[in-house]
Amino acid sequence: MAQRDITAVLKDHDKELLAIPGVVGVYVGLLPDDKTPCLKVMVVQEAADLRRRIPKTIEGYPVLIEETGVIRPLKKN
Amino acid sequence: MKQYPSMRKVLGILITVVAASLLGVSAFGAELPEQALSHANPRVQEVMAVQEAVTPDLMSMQDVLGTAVGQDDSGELTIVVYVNMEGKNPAASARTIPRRLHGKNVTVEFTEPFRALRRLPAVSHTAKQTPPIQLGTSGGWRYDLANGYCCGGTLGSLIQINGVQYILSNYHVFESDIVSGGNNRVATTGDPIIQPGLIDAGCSAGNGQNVATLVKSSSLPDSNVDASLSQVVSGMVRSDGAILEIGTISSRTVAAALTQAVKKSGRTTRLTRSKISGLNATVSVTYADECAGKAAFTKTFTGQIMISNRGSKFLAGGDSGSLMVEDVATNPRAVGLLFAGSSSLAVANPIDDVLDFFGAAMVGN
Repeated sequence: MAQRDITAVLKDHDKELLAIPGVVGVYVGLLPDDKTPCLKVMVVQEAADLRRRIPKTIEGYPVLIEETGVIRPLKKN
Repeated sequence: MKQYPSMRKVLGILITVVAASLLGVSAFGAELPEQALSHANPRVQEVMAVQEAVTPDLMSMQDVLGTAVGQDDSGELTIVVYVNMEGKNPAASARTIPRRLHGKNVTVEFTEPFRALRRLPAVSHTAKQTPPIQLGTSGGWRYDLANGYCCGGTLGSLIQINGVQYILSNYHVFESDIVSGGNNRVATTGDPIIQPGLIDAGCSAGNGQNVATLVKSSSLPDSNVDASLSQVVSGMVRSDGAILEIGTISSRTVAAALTQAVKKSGRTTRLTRSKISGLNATVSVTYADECAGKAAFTKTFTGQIMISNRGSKFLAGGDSGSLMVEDVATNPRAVGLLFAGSSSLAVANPIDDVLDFFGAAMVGN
């Protein structure tokens, strides 16, 4: 079965993922095998509610939740 | 990189010598030399012979840094295998190491990576330099002081537009003061950019030097890059665009790729290395309206590069504006402009997006 390019899949789904409270980003990454492409969803803090709302796969690609905290500009004060 | 295995082999032999010597001196110093656990002791020699035979295979295993002859908790001689606790998967790697080899016990010890302990000449990324300065250094807007704080970032790299040279950094390093607020001033074209930044000048601009002049470009909030530039003051910046601890770079750029090795030179964490962990990121970042100010807007960037940043070891506060380049020794090509992150990930604008925004090219070889 043909599978769409993961970048196109991300582009079509990034807004709905980012609309989930606590999600700060989403990107194309790799599974721990460093080979298999996946979608990674960056969250401020991992929680059961978020795990329920974020799909396990999108269009056949695995979706991994990654607790990153808030992403800030890295100026120093 | 290809020389690394042989270097590790040498290290393993050195560890062997050191460990065995220490055993001989500290644990059994009062005994007769032939009874001490030194190289001369037959029991030590027996284990060392096995250790030397199995070391090449052990060194080829993931995360193994070295081997030695030591003692376990019960005082039995054992082959010690050092596993890199910062390695790819230390626990899994340790499980693959046999507990006995050729009849000798094997013990696993987790350790940080071994480093040569020779003191290298310190390169300061925060000190005031004698002009012309190298980049990858502390810098910022001369008036970046408000609400009881001063701010700064990194003067990252040199770009050119129609033959005129500019320092490239971030919007939020050079020109994010957009309210008169705590300092009665907003960033304006013509304002000086100083080295080092106020944070490294005791919050007093007089301790820094004017190296460039701001050309306000207001990349945010409307565009997809957090970038700003300032025109070089003649003679104040190395015209070859040299970056501290990186040197000159290529005038060409390269697109990011997953697992690609990269490095950067910045104000806070200086020269650091990491790898690309994500592409095409959509990521939200909130910006302040001045130094230590209120939230001004939240920008959602698309198409960004994500970089592993465990424990903020690659990028930390004050490194904003650093240029990320491929991790090669000579004239690396630019990959991205670093601007944001957390304690696990760093974010960079693809460098071609930044250069396209300004109609610019990197200064390099």
